[in-house]
Amino acid sequence: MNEHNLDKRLRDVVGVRQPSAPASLHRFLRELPETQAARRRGPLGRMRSVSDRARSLIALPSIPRRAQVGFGVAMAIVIGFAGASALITLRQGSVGPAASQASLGPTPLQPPKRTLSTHVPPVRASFGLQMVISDGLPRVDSESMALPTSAVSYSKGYIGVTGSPYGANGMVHSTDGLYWDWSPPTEVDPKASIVTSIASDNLGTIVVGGGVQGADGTTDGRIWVDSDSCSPCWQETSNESVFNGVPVRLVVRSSWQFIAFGWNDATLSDAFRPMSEWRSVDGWTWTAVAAPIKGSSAVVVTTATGFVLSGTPITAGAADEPPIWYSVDGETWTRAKASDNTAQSMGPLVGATVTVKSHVYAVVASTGSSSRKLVASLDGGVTWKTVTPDGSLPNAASISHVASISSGTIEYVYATTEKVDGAPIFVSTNGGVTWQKFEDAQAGGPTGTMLLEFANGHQAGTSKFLSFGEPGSGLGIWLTQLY
Amino acid sequence: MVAAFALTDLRQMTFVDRAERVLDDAYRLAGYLLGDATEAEDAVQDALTRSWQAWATLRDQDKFEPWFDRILVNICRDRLRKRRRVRIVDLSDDLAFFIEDPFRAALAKNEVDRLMRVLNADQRVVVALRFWKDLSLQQIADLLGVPLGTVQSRLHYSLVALRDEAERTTTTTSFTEKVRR
Repeated sequence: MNEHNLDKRLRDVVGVRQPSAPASLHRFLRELPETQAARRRGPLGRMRSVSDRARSLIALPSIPRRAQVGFGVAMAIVIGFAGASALITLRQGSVGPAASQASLGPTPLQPPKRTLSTHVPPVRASFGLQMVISDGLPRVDSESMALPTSAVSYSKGYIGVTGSPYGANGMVHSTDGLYWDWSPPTEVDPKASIVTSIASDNLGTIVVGGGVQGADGTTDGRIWVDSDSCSPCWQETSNESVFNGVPVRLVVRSSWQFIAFGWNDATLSDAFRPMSEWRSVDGWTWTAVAAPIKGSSAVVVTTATGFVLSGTPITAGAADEPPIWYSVDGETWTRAKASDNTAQSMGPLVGATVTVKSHVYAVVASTGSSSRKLVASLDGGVTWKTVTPDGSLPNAASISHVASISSGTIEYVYATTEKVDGAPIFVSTNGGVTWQKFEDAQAGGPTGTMLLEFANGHQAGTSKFLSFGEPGSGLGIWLTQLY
Repeated sequence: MVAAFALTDLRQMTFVDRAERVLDDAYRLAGYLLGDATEAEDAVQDALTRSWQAWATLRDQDKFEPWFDRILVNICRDRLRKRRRVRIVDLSDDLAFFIEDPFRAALAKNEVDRLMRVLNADQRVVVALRFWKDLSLQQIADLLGVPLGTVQSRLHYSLVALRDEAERTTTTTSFTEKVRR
């Protein structure tokens, strides 16, 4: 038999129709991590897990076996020599290295090296929730980074806006929530001087608010729209004159329309500064409407029925009216009511989150005091009451941020409090009455002070959201989801 | 909802995703190496288990496929060696009417299965990787962690042995046919 015939016989084994892995094998693979995890329960299993985690932290590139053996032999020789020399030294009664070092004087204190990398491994999980840190913060240049202040999910991943006070203003993108890149505002428009906020209808239309440099040095408001056809490729909305020279600061989307707010830092003081508001159904055509608030801050969340807004009221409300409004269309605002004495000392909301049931949990600053409290509305922002934690939330008077995530009918509400060591994150599943500490599965998890913003595409009840940390804490962007 | 998120651990998801991509190829490689679908499935399951346990040590996840193939080949080679020590009573021929084994059928097509019996486990691995996974000699050397010369040598002796066996079988067959006539 010649070489060619044998070659052909061998190659003919692999036919045109190749067998595929059976379904049972795919099932085995999908269940494998769970099966293995089940084996790891108990003290020995936990030790193995810890050992594996440690190996993953210090995983070295694979070293050939010969090199390993060589290294082992070399180490044995070195240890042998060192042992022998120590024995001889002891017998001669000479002083050890510590004494000789002491004669040279104290070693100068070296400042610790600071690294900008945030790629600490990676998962921190408890209480049914999991946070995965991103692989480094979005880098602006070789020396600086930026953190998103708002972000949305879209068909290609996540897209966000970065800016003050957490680094340079610009846009960030990520396909998986873990790896991020940054680009300046000019990515959106060569004329853009600032981008401030981003919102999505979750159907392929994304809007970014911001502004362009005006002729007199001021910032004129703009909104850019990206339709899914070539996303992201931004186009300016056609009726830019509607913004009337006021920079757009905040854009939000309800189930059927966008609203935006803006104010001009260059005019008047905060107490007299008018708040501009615009609304649009399609993101392209915007109409100016009247906002019930003034100043330079607004907290807006969307519920199943519309919007909930909080800010400094233009006109004082009644005794039972907190500075909160709700609206179906973003144009006609109705003042909310408090069902207890919540409204008596209630300033504007400083942060809010909406659960899948349209329950709104919010942090509110008390007027005339630095203390904060948790308030909630279980009817989409119409009536509000104070939530009093039972003591399991330490220092509840310094609650700083809230966020939520839902699994079926379970609503997880996150909160962070300042002035608690390590500023940990707490989680509640009963409307904020009792809380559990989000345990550190590993060192280097996020601290409460870093939970600054949350983005889940402005869709209440989604299974994941992003949380953004403070650069100074050495942390970064966390993708949070159920597990 | 909870079940849907049972695998949301990123580490698990990455592993499952990577392994899913190579599963078909791995199953075929094991199948042609072992010549038996059931045994191939067992071998791939072993390889998946081992690779999941060692997943934390794989620093460059882009090299998952060669890493996984190496684990799988080692497992298959061990199984082939074990076959030599443990006599496996093969009953599956009787069941062939009921269960079609694609690998058994493919190897039997040109009586390659008969030829392969003359090869030892190392030689069989090299032949499988060269002809059925279509790897270059250098790729085989990298996968097995042996020098290129070793692969060349194993392949050479394998082909010589296969050719000898093929000729011997042909001669015997012709002789038998002559006798029958």
